[in-house]
Amino acid sequence: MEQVNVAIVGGGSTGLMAAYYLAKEGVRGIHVFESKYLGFGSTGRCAGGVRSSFASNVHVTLMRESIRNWLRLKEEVEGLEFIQDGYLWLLTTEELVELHRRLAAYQNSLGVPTRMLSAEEVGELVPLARSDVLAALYDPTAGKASPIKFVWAMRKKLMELGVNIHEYTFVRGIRASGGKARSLVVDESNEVRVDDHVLIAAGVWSKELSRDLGVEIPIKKDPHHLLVTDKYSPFLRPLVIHKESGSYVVQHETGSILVGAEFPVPEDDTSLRYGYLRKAVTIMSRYFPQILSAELLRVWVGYYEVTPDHHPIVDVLPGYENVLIATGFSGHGYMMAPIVGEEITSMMLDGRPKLAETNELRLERFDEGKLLKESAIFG
Amino acid sequence: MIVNPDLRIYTHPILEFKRGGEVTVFFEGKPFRAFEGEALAAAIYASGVNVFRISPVRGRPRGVFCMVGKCGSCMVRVDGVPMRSCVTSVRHDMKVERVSGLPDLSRYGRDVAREELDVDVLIIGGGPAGMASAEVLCGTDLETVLIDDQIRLGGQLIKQTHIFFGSRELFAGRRGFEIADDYNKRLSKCSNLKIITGTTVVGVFKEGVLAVGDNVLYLVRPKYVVVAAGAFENHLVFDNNDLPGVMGAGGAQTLMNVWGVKPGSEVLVIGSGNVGLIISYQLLQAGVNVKAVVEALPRIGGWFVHAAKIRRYGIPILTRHTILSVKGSERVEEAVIASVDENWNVVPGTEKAIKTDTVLLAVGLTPNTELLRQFGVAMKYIPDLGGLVPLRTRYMETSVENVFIAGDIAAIEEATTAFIEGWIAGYSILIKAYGEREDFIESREKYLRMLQEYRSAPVSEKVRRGWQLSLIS
Repeated sequence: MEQVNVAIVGGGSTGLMAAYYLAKEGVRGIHVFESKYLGFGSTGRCAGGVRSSFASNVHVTLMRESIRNWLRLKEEVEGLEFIQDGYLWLLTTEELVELHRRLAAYQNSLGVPTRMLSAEEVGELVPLARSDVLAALYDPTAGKASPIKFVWAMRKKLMELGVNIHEYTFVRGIRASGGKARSLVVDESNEVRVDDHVLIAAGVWSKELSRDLGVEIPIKKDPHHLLVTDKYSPFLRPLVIHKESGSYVVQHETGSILVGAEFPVPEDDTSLRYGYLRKAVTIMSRYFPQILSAELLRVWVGYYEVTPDHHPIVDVLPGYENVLIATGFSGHGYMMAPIVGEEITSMMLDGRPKLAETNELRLERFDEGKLLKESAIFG
Repeated sequence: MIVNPDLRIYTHPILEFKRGGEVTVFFEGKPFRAFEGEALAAAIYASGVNVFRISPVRGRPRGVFCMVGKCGSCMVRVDGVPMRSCVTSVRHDMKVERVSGLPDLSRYGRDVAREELDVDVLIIGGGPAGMASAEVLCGTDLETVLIDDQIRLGGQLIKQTHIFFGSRELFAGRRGFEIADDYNKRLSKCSNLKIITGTTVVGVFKEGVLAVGDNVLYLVRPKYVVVAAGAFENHLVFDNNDLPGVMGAGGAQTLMNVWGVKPGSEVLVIGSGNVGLIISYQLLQAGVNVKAVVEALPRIGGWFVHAAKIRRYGIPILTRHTILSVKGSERVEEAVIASVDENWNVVPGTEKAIKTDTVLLAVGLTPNTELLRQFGVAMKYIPDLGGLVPLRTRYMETSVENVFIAGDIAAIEEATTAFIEGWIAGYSILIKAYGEREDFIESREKYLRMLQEYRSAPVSEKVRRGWQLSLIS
C-alpha cells in the first residue's frame, strides 16, 4: 500500500492552491488526486474573474485577502497571470443604482475602494453603444486571471516544489476509523494510506465523498454556460457585468473573449442551450457590437456548486479531525482559491485559520440556521 | 494599369477556368487584379502576395496553408472585418489589410438574419459522402437540408482531376470535378432538398443544430442527421514549418485546380501516399517544376500507377528521407532534407539543401469529429482509421440514435468509399422513416456488398482492421 502525508482530492484551483501553500510551509508528501486532468472541472470552465465587490463581510474580506495573494502569486509563479483591470457593474434601473450605492459604501467600510461612476464616467472608461446605463459600480482592485494559464503555471510550480500530481486517478472513497481518515480507495481498489490530512476539494463531487463518511453537505449542482471566441486585439479591459440580466463579458490577455449569462437549467442537464448563447450575445452586443464580428469557438457548461447561502464551506469535516473540506463556492471558487489554500494550510498546521471570517464558513451554520447573506451574484 | 506577377493558369490540359468579370481589390493600399467569383486568398496569392498576416505571439509571417477555412493562417481584414480570405469571395473595390498580431474586431456589429428550419434530415458536409446521402433522399418526401462550409459544393472532388477507375456505377472514367458538377446539377433539381453553402455548422444545442453563414444564423431541428464533415490535413514538425510557401497538399490542390492559381514555381512534395503522388502529377500538368517527392518510409505509400506516372517525368521519389527545415524570409527559398535510418533517426552527414519556393505536405488526414462529440457520439482512438473516430453500426448509425456518419469522418479512405457510405446512410434513413421496405433493404445490402468488395484489396488492409474495432451492433 502506498503512503502519503497529505492527500488532496481534486485537481482544481482550491486543491492546487492548498498544495502550493502547504509545500511553501515545507510540508512533504503532498499528493493531489484528480479523476481527469488538472482543471477539468469548474476551474477550467470558469471565466477567470477575480473581485472583492461582494455584499457580505465574509466574501469582501476573504476576497480582499485573496486579491493580495493573487498579486503575490503573480510574482512567485512563472506564467501565472493576474491583470488588475477591474470589474464594471452596469446598472440600468434606479433600484440597482441605489442598491449599489449602498454596496459601495459597505465595501469601502471594509477597505475595498469601489466607487460609483456616472454614465459619463462609464463612457470614458469603456465606450458603450447603448445609452440606457444610469450609473455603474467600479471595482478597481478586481481583475482577471486566465484559468488555462493558471493551471499550467501551477502544475509546473507544484512539480518544482515536489508535490505529486496524480491525474486520471479517481478517489472512490475515504476509509476512516476512530474519528480519523486512514486511507483513500483509489481507482478500482488501490488503497493509499494517509498519515496526516485529507482535503476534500472536489467541487460538486465533494458531496459523494462526504456522504461516504456519513456527512451530508448541502451543495447543489448548478450548470452554467460560457462561450469563448477566437483571439482579437484588446478592446475591453475590465470585466463588464450587465447586472439586470446577469450577463457579462471579459477579454483575457490572450485576446479570447468570454461571454456569460444567467440561464437557469435543471441540476443534471449539461446539454448546451442555444437560448443561453442568444441571450448572452444579444444583451452584451447591445453595449459592445464588436462581439458580433468575433468568431465563436466553443460553448460549454460548467458547474457552480451552490450552497443555500451562496457562501462556501471551509471546515474540518464533523467527526473526522484530519479531514478538511473546501467546497460550495457557488461560482467563486477560483477567485477565492489563493486565500482558501492559505487558510486550509493554517487549519492543517496550526489547527485554525488566520482570519476570523473563515470560521464563519463552518458546515454547522446550515443546521443552526445561521445563514450568511449575499446579493452580489451574477452569471 | 495594374502590373503584378501572375500565377494564374490560363491553359491546362484538363481544366478550363471560367473566370468572372475583372475587378480590382486593394491589398495594403495597392490595387490587384481579381475576377468575380474568385476566392480572395487565391486572387491576391496569384499576384504575388505571400504574407497574409503576422502571427500574434512571435511575429512570424503567415500565408495560405489549407485554403478551405480550417486553419486561420490566411486571415486578413476585409473592409475592417477579420476574415479567412480563402473562404471569402472577392468583391470589386474590397479594401484588404494584412492582420498584424491579433486582428481588431470590427467596431460595428453586423445584421444577422435568423432562420429556423424544421426538417426531416440534416446532412452536414457536401462532399462525396454528403452528396451521396442527399442523392438517395432526393425525390422522397423527406424534407432535407444539406449544409456545407465551402463556396462550392463537392468537397475534395472539385479539385480532383485524376480519372476514377473501377466500375461505371463508381464513376469509372470520370474525373472528380466532373462528378461534382454532375451532382451539383442533379441535386439542384431535388424539390425536397435545400442546399446551403458558405455556411458552417458550429454547434449542437438542445434546441437544434446551429449553422452560421455570412449573414444568416440557422437553427435546424432535424429528425435524422448525416454527419459527413470529412477530415483535415495533418501538419509536420520541422524548423520554420509555418513559413509561407509551406502548404497542405490539399490547399495547393484547391489553389491550382479550383482557382487556377499555381502554388509556386518549384515544389518539394513531402509524403508519397496517393495524395502526394497525385498532386505531383497535377503540378506538372499546371506547368510547375516538381523537385522531388520525399518519403520517410522505405517504400512508396501510394498506388503503383500514380508513382509510375511521375517517375516517367523524371521526378525522384526519395524514400527513407525526411525534411529538416525550410529557410527564407517572407517565403520558402530553400528546404533541407536528409536520410533517415530504420529507426527514423536522421543519418548525420546526409543533409542536403534543395532550392525551392514551395513545400507541400501530404502527410495524412485526421477525421473532423468535433460535431460528433457534441452530438454525444461514442468515440474510440483507432489509428488505422485516422485517429479518434466514431463507433458505428454497419448501417452507418452512431451510438446516438438517428445520427449517421459517412466518409472520411468515419475513416480516412477516399471518394469512392465515401460515396458508398453516403448511399448506405441514406438508405438507412429511408428504412427508419418508411419502415423495412424490401427495395430499400435490397439497395442497402447491395451497397454493403460493394463496400466490402472495394475494401477487399490489399491496400485497404488497415481500414479493414480498424473497421472491426469501430463496429457496434
